[in-house]
Amino acid sequence: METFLRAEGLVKRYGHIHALRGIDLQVDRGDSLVLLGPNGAGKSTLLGVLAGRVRPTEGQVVLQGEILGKSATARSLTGYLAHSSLLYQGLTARENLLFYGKLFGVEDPAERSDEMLHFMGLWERRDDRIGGFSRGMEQRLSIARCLLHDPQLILLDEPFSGLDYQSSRAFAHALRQLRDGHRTLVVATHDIAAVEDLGDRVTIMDRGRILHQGTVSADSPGSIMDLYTRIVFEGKQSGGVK
Amino acid sequence: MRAAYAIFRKDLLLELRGKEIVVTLTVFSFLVLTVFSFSTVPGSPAPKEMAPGILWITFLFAGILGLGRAFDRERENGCFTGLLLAPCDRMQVYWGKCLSTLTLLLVFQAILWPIFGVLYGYSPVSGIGTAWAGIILGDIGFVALGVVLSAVTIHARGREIILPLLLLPLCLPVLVGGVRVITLALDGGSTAEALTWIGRLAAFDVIFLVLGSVLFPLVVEE
Repeated sequence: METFLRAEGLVKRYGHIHALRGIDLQVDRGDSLVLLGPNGAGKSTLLGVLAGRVRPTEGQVVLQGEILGKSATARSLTGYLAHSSLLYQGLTARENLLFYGKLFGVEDPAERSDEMLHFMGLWERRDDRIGGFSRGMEQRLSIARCLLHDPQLILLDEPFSGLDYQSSRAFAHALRQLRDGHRTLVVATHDIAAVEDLGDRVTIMDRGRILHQGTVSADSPGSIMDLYTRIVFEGKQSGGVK
Repeated sequence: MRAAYAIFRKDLLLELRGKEIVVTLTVFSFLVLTVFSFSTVPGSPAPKEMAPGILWITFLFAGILGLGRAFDRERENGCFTGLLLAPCDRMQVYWGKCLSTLTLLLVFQAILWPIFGVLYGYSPVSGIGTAWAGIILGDIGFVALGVVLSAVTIHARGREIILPLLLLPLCLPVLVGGVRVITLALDGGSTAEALTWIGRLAAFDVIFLVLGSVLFPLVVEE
């Protein structure tokens, strides 16, 4: 399969704090990769670098043959769901999507916004300002924003946080559909169950390093839990150590 | 310039909803002008002589307040990150923020102008063309610098203090030029001299805008 995303020797330092310590990663088109790791492992920083939001201190990201950071086109291929919703409290749900649609050069932002509002079950609340939304509704709108420009690479940082069970299942189903439609997913999460739901591949990180890379079929969810515990909590490295 | 226009429209929509920036700046500036007008001996010519300086100092401090609020909106929910993810030259984000901030400043200044005339004994229409050329060009320079520095300090602790500390010294050319143009416009001074100062302000604007366009994409990277 064609390599869609390649990270080479990524290092990120904030002063003397090392957030990433030499990450090499390769993701094929249509793959879904789940990043597992405790708080401070570097998952969010890595997603930030892959999204072109954070500039690596060393190394580079190549997305579909173009170096990220130097190319606005590469950013147009990426949808990024961050910890924060990136939504304006003073605007309505629809206005937020319309704004991002225009910002991202979506062909018919009004039609696409309405489509996403239906898709995320927010149509009834489209004209309400998001200042009054619950955490789960804001997260759903944030997901709509992330998918608005139909990105090829979808980067999700804790996507299920704040979602109720029903929304969470619906979103996981939507993500599986996107993956089957040859979209590439990179998901950072603490939720080991999400690996079974979404992942073709799993990467375990800690303290800015990749400690294990494997495929989900080889590391079944039960063994992923064991593997995670062994690697992260007991400090024993796996055969797939990078 | 699609992205710049989208940002401009979004900022105006947010302001139309809340009217937070224009109302705050107008009230603040009204109070400053009023306090200054009462702070001199009644009947002395001092307030009138100092009026252009007082007006520009008021504009600068109000402008800093306005910049702070405009970027607070971008800080909430990490919206500034959302702007930087857009698949466009980041210079467009800079131009969009400059355009919306400039528009909001001009709206509040248009409201303040007749109040200034009443408090300091000037006709709001005398020398209006020259005066407003100075105000608009001064604002452009202020905004060109202010947007870059607001982006630099957006995540800084104590940014309310850091922003004026960085911005005010750099705005001295704008302050000097703005005060001179208003003085010449209101006192009926030489048109040639006013035009010279307007030309200088325009030159500063070009320099500040070019610098801002080059620096902004560099300073916003994390």
